[in-house]
Amino acid sequence: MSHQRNQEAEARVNRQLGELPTSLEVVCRLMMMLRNPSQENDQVVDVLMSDRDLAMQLVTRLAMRDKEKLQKATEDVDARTEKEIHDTLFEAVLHMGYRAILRLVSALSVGQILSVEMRGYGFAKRELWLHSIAAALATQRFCELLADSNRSDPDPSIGFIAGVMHDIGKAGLNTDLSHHAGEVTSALENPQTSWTTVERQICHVDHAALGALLVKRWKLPDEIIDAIEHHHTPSPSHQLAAIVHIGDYAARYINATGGLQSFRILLNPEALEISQLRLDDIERVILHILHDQETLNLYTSA
Amino acid sequence: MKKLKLLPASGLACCDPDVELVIDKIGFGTCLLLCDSQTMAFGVAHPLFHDSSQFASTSILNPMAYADLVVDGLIDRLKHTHESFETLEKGAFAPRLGAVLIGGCIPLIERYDEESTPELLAISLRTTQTIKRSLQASEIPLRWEQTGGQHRCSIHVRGSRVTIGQERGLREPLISEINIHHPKWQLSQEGQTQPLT
Repeated sequence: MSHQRNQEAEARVNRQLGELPTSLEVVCRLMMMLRNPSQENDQVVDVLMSDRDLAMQLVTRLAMRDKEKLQKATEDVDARTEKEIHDTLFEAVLHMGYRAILRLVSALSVGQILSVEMRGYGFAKRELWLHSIAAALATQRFCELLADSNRSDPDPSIGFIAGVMHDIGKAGLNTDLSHHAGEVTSALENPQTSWTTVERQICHVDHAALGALLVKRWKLPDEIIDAIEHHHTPSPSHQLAAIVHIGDYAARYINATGGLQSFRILLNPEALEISQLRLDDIERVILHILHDQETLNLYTSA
Repeated sequence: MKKLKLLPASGLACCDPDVELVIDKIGFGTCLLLCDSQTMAFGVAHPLFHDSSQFASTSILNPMAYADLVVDGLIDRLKHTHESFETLEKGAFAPRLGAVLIGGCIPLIERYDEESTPELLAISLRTTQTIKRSLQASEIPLRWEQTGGQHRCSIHVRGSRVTIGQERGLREPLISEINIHHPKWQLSQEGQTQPLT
């Protein structure tokens, strides 16, 4: 990255800092706990309870799986006692497992940023969010497939988090791009110009690089930072980035994202070899996610 | 009016003037519409992949997800939508139909090499090509095709009217209206009308 682009990226990151959701702290603490195999469920619940807004979002989201519970949850959200919230979360950690809760929390923590309308990219409300969830689920499933078939051993939950945050940098570039709509349109008239090229031309930084800098500020693990930074430029030293690269592609089959020329994704043929995935893995995962509406709804129900 | 929606990798057929069908997000998948303009029966599917052979013996095989199975699969479903079809042989039934093909967006490929195109890259292109070969083999005329590019499409079928919308970035979507009234099909687009033969 050139000096000018570095400065530009830093300036943008600094502008974004004030808008950072505090719940990312919870994600970081949960991820540190991931490394401790003797983790007690109570400790996990205590971390979740440290951010009441996030805890309430989580309780409501969990209740969406059960209409009766949802009604109660939405009626009584403010009236719930700390103990009731604690008990609900404890039950969820017990039944769903700690890793599933981590995935849900990480998705919720960036949901607000990714759900807004992004005129710079032509995304209606929630479109980037739905794409990010599809990419996260695809990346998670690819990691599970690789592990199940003994091809490699990437962590599916880390894969999910890298997938759900892979386009987080777009939130930082959206305003600038929307102020340069004419330039964006004329740059995209060249059918061979990719979106990342357009971003660099106009903003001097692309969403992958900016996203990596943002996530670094959030103190997420290097593996996730690298995956976000290289998800459009996978190389042999970044296997997770290659998996996210293919997850990003697969997500467009699961949810045909809107936006300006959002199918203009630049695919790198080497991503298959680096990720150790095969074409039939991609088809299998796309069909699996399309048929598993319950899991999609858990994340994406409005 | 019953409004039906169709998810990717699925299909349906019906002959009911009170049915309105909408597929509002077509991207890398290719949407195939088969219509009989005499009865207004139609079948529609949204296959995503081109080759089912690797899944032929598995439980996840879904004919509507694969381009190599979708034409025959839709004809089979269509045959059950109207009593006059049931006695027709496939060879006699297929030529009554007309096809519309939309979607199949194509991604950009880094270091594209015709000689060694890795399979990952051209899924949508090959899905579209496979459907076209199957249509040809079944002698079903392809009346209208709007595939490729990088813009999302939608399709809306109601009676004899098929409406196709294609997003165009900051510009208004391109709207194409196809009237499938027997014996001629007509396309209206940006104020111009032309027969579809």
